Amino acid sequence: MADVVHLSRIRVYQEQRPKRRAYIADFPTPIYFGVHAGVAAFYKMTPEEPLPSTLDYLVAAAAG
Amino acid sequence: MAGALEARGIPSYPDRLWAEAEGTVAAPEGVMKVTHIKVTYHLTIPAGKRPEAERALAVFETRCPVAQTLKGCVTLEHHAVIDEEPA
Repeated sequence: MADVVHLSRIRVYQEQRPKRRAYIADFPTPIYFGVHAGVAAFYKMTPEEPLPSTLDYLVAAAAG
Repeated sequence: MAGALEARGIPSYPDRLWAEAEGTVAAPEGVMKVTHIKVTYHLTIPAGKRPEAERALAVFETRCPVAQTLKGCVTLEHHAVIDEEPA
């Protein structure tokens, strides 16, 4: 097994669905997940607060 | 996870579901990548709902878009700490 370079530590708290609040390591500012656009339509949801989906964050990470 | 719980009559909010995750980053071929993600869910469930909660934990990954995206690339490991409310 390769040596560990980094451990990514995350906490995620469920808020009113579909909203979630996530903290990365000891950074104090949370990020929020939810649904919007096509993801909301797929789930047949109309969120009170449109938010980026977890899949959006994956794509953003790939672009970064 | 919340959807799988709520589909089985288990509320996920407020203050009923949170998760801690640890992602292992290694560089087996000289380039960093996430090799393993371990997630521990912390659930507070109504009395008598443990079988439904355990079923949700067992099957939710098949309906999780991120888990399905990472499948085959990153090893995902799930655990749960379940706090069942008194009857």
